[in-house]
Amino acid sequence: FEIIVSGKRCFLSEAYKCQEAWERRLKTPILQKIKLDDFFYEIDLKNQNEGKISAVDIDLFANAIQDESHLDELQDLTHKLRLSANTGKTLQSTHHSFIRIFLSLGRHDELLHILNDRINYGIFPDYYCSCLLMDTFIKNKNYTAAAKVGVLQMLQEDWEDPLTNHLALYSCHMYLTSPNVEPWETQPQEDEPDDGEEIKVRVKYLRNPYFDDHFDLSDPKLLVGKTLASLGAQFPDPVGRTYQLVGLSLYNKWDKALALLQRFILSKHKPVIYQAGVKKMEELIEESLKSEDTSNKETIEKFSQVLHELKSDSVTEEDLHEAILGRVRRVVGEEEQRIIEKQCQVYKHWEKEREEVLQAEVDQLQKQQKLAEVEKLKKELDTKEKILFFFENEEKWQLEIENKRVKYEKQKQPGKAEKKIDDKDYIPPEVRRSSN
Amino acid sequence: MPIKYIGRTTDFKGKTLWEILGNLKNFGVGRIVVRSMFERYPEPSYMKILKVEPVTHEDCRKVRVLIERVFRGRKYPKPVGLYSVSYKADYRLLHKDEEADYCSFDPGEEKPERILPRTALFPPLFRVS
Repeated sequence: FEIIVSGKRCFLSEAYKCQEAWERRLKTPILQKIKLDDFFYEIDLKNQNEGKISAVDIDLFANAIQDESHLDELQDLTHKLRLSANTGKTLQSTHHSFIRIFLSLGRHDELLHILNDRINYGIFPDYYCSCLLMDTFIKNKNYTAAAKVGVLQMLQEDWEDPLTNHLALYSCHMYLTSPNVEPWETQPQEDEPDDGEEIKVRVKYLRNPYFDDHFDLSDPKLLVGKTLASLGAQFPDPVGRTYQLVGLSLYNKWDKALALLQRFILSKHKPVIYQAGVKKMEELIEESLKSEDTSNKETIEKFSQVLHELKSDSVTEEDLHEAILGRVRRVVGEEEQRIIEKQCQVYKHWEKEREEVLQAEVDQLQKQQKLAEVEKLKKELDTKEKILFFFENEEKWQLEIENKRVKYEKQKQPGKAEKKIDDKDYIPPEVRRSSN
Repeated sequence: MPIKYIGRTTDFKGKTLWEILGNLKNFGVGRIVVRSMFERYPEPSYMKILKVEPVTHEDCRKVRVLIERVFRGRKYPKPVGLYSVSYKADYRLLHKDEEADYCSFDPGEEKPERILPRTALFPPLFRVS
């Protein structure tokens, strides 16, 4: 049932946020005992002294946060965890609570920046979170941000969840068709002042320049194009076909677009695509023909020709916008309730998992402590034994002293120089002529 | 101030394993990675990721991986571990739609084993006569 509230387009209802189930996590005994400042200090100290940072600790920290004051600390700890070997053991609930806390405190830009910097932070939204993010951004009419979340799904090549697919399609559609969208890059790029000095950095191996057409993409047009192209393939109907072609045109892969269009015409699905899509593609064709890039001109012209030749019954005049809207609403109606119930189950499962992992770590620590104690005891008993039974074993000790005597010195092998210690801060001493 | 890197040159074309796996959810388990150096052969060579274990960060971060390796169309019987080669900036991720195309290999007729003769003549200078 559609709910139109004062002109805002809402898809997911308030119940989708599962706010009560989410807040119930705060009532578990472990989380109630945590004091955030002390906890952060302890984790930081342990990291500096031992270099170890535990995934459960970060998970507890992320879940215990409720206000703005500890967000920077959470970011810092997530980064440190990503650099350590324990990244592999990050719990699922860490990603979830990280995204939820940033979203609820309104730090959208920072959150998107962190989600796009996966190597340094490693926060990946699951299906529930990406739907929540896209819905929030669509409600705020921030179509750029919603399209960015859709792009994230494309980078993972993960189109399994129908609700995520539909919302991503809607976000990219609104990004393309809205008159004034916010720019993709929110932070202005600062060029560092060029002193003319070069900083020389020594690396083991030089990297050859390589552009993989996937994670390295940064141009919004190419990103949204690639998203639409792979997303459109998931919908076997005119909407999907339209968006596949539009996406490939945005992405500048004209040969693939041509091959696809010819295949659609041959497959005799009627109608093939929407009129709005044809119009958009004609605009893109004009733009790229003007842009003096001669490599694809023939393909583009052939594509444009085939497009014009599309018969009238292959192209529908229906409103693309309404079609997409209808589909999204239908999927929301079908899937929402099931997802909400599943998510409440998942929260309970995460609580249990957190307790189990924490208990396992505590047990491990205790085991190590006990082993250390036992070792200490063994050593003490050993020294005592040596003292008490000295005179019985006197001959044995004398033999051992004989064996320890070095018979010959280790000779220096020619060609094997001892390793020189490389001190970065070493400044060679100034040698001046002594005035004698 | 532009940074100039000085170091040994390589012929590699691609990214390090960590740069690929660190960008993927669940560290890319189940995805197929290809080494550009092995693309010189006509038969396909690729690696399917089974298990990933991240390692502490260094300058060029390595990662311990268990893979199912296929080299020149022939599959290794047991899973293989990679660690010390993961620093090489030579890896490339295959898209899911490209996988079927790239990995399909028709071995054709099996070439018969070449059995060499048990004896052969000595080299000319060693020959007695």
